[in-house]
Amino acid sequence: MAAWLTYPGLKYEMANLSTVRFASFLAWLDSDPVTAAEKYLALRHKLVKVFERTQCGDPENLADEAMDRIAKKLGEGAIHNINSYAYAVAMKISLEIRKASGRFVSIDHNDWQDSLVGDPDPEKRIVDAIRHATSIQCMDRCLKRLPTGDHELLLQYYAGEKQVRIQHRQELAEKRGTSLARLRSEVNTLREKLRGCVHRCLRTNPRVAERI
Amino acid sequence: MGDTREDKSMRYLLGKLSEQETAEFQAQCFDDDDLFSEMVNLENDLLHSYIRGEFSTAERQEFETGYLISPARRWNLEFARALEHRLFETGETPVSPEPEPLLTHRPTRAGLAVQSWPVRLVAGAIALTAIAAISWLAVIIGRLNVELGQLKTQQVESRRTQQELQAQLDTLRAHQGEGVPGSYGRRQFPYVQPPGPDTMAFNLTPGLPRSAGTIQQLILPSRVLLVTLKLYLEDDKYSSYRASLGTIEGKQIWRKTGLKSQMDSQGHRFVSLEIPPDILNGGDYLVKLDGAPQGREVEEIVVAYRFSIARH
Repeated sequence: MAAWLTYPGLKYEMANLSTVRFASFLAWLDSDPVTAAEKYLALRHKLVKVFERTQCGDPENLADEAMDRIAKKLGEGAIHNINSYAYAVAMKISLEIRKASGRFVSIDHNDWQDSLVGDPDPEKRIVDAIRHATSIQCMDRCLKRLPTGDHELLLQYYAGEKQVRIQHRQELAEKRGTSLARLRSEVNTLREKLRGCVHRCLRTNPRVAERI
Repeated sequence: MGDTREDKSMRYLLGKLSEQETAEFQAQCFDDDDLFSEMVNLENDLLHSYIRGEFSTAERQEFETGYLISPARRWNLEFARALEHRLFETGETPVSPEPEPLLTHRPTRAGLAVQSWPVRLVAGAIALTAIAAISWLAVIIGRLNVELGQLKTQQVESRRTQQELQAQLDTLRAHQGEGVPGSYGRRQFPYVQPPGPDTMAFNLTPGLPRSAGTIQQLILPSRVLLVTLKLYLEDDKYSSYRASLGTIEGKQIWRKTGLKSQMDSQGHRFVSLEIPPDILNGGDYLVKLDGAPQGREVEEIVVAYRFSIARH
C-alpha cells in the first residue's frame, strides 16, 4: 500500500513505502510531526538536486526511490549519519542507471541525432510551446492555492534587477524581522512547494501527457 | 568566506567543477543546510536572470552549455519562466473592461429640483440625449470587445501557423542536411541548433576516416559569430583536456587548455569548444584532444576529430 506525506497544501506519494515504515521514518527524523515533515522534504529536495544534475531519469521519482531505500535501511537500524547515507544512496542510484543505459552511440548509428542536446525537432518545439502554455495554466492554479502572504513574499523576493536584489532582500528580511539566511530558506521552501504543485499538475494534464 | 562559497556554488551549477570537486560539494550540501540553501537560491537567481535577459552573451552561453545540461534543469527553466510570467507580467489585464460607471454618479435630487417646465423640458431632453449617448457607447464598447476577441484569436492562429511553417522549414533543412547531390560525395554533418542567433553548434564524434566520403562536413553561414564544437568522447578518464585545432596539412591555428568534459542528456560525455569562425576559412581541419590526468600535466593524445568546413 502506498504511503502519503501530507504537508500544508501538499501531498506526496511514497512509491514503495508502507504507511508503517513511512511513519517510523518520520518519527526517526523528528518527534514533532511538522518538523519531521520539514526535514523529510528538505532531504528529498537535496536528492532531487543531485538527480537533476546527473541527468538520469526523473529526479522526482529517483528521489522517492532513494527515500524508500533510506527508510528501509533505517528499519534495520544501520544508519548513523542520514545525510551522508542519503548522498551515498543517490550516487549508487545514479551509477545503477548510468550502467543500465547505453554508454556511447556511434555517428553511423541511424538514431544518433535523437540523442543529442538541442535536437532540431520541430514537433518538440511545438510540444514545448504547448507545454509552456500548460505550465502557465498550472502555475496559475498553484499560485491561487498559496496564501496571499506567500504570493506577496515571492513577488517581493524576486523583484528588482540583479544589482539591487541583494540590498532589496536584506531590507525585506529586516522588515519581516528575520535574517537573510532564514528568509532565503523560507523562499526556497515555498518555491519548492510551488514547483512540486506545478510538476504534479503537469503530470496529470492529459494535453501534455499524451505528447511527452 | 561568503564569496568563496558563492563562487563554488556558481562553478558547481555551471558544471565547472571536476567530478571529484562536484562529489565533494554535493556531499557538503547534504551536511550543510545553509550551503544548500545558498546554492539553490543562486540557481533560482541564475534562472530568473537568464529569463530577464540580464546576462551578457558570454554568460548566456556559459549558462546554456554549463547549466542547461539535463531535461530536469531545462524544466526548472520552464518553471521559472512560468513563475516570472505570472509574478511580473502585467500586460494581461482582463479582456472585457467594465463600461464606465456613468450612471452611478447621478445628480442629487436637490440638483434637479427645478420648478420651471421649460427648464424641465430642456433637462429632460438632455437626460434623453445622455441616455442615448450612453447606450451608443455601450454598443460601441461591446463591438470593440468582440473585435478585440477576434483579433486575439487571429493572433493565436497566426502564431500557430508561424510555428507550423517554422516546423516545416526545419524539417526541410534537416532533410537537406542528410547528404544532397553535389556535395562531393561527402556526408554533410547535421546542423544541430543555433544556441543563439549568432552562434552555431556542431557535434563531432571521434575518429580519422580513411575516405573522403565519411568526413564530417560543416556548413558555416557567413553571419555566424561563434562556432561551438562538441567533441564526443568514447572514454572520459581525464580531469581536464587540451584541444588544438589545425589544418589537415599540420598547421596549428588555435589551441585551448583546461577544458572540462560535460554530459549530454543521454549521459554521453563531450568536451565543448568555442571557436571564432574567422579562423575557419574552409577546407579540412583536425582537432586533437590531449588529456591531463588529475594533478598532472597534459601527457596523452586522447582522440582526434576530422571535419571539413564549407562557407556560404
